[in-house]
Amino acid sequence: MTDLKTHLGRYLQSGRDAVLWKLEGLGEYDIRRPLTPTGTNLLGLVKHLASVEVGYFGDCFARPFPETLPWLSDDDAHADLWATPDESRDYLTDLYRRVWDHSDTTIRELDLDTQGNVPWWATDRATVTLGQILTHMIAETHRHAGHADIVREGIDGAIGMRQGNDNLGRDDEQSWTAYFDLVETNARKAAGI
Amino acid sequence: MNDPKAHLHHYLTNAREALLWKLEGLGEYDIRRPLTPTGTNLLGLVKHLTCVTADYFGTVFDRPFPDPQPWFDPNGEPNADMWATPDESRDHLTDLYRRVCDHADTTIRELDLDTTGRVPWWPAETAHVTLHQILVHMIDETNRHAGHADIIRELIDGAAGMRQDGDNLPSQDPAWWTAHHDTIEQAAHRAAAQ
Repeated sequence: MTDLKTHLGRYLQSGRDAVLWKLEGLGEYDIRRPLTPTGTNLLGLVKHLASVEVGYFGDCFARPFPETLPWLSDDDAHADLWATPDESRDYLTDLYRRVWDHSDTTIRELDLDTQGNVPWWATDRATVTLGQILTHMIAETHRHAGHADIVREGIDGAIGMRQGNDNLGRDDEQSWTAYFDLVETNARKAAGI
Repeated sequence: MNDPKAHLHHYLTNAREALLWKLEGLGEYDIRRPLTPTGTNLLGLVKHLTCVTADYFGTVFDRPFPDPQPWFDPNGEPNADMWATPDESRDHLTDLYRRVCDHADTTIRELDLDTTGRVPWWPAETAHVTLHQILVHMIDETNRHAGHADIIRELIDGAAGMRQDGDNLPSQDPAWWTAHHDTIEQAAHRAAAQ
């Protein structure tokens, strides 16, 4: 039976992979453009998640990521939510992968009950374990993967849980169109409109 | 306090509550309408997670939810659990989700993390699981769908935020967000023109 740390690591990785997969095949404008009023965009999600992992698996366990991420020392605390024109797709996706490697070394070398400290959390919750931070990052990564799912679908209609297993019950456009119409019709009926 | 089960349960609970929060304040049409070409809608996400929660914490550990719905069947009509029929009210479905979560929480409380179960709809080589693995799986799935709900809700009326008791947003000022959005849009155009 697989151990706890291996399970946690697999679920973290599946979230990471899903986020990167959602950029594949899109042009520069599409990976950067804001698809919600609050600016949600695919490459920004990658930059944000890389930054967050650097904090949680690096700083919180006194094993800092060896590169400086310039936007983390910026006055603008939200500079990690979008990519500047000089931050290329390759730079940010390669960075995310390097951050994974660094995080994974920490995960491999420490026990799940190793203590860390999260200085940006309330003091009474700031002492954490590696197991707790793994859970936190699984939650956060998958929540952002959910954002990426809808943003990607809004760009070009591409969908699916992960590469190699889209986990969908239909596979043709006509079937999806009929399903959409079914849901819309019933929504109107329920609302009496 | 280092209590792995409590930590896992905490993250699962947060995700469930975030999802339900995303329906608050919306009318009947808005909670049901499809906001993506593949029909993603808020009340359907609640219904789907009800089914998934009952399956993973009930069926898998041989502690079935005592009020199963026809659309719980993982081999049933595709997407039957992803939208609400007109006779399925918001209250009915959100109450059902809460009851299924209570039932799941009893299982979580009463079993050890290394208690084994079986997921019959997974490939045989991965079907034997522990409570720990299923907790992680459901944290993954519930959060992923909460992420869907985040964007769907924002597209309906602009409401955003991580949780009801802590939105984790940098600003409440609409003007700040407009400027932020415009900055990102302009940067996207400039990058594409390079």
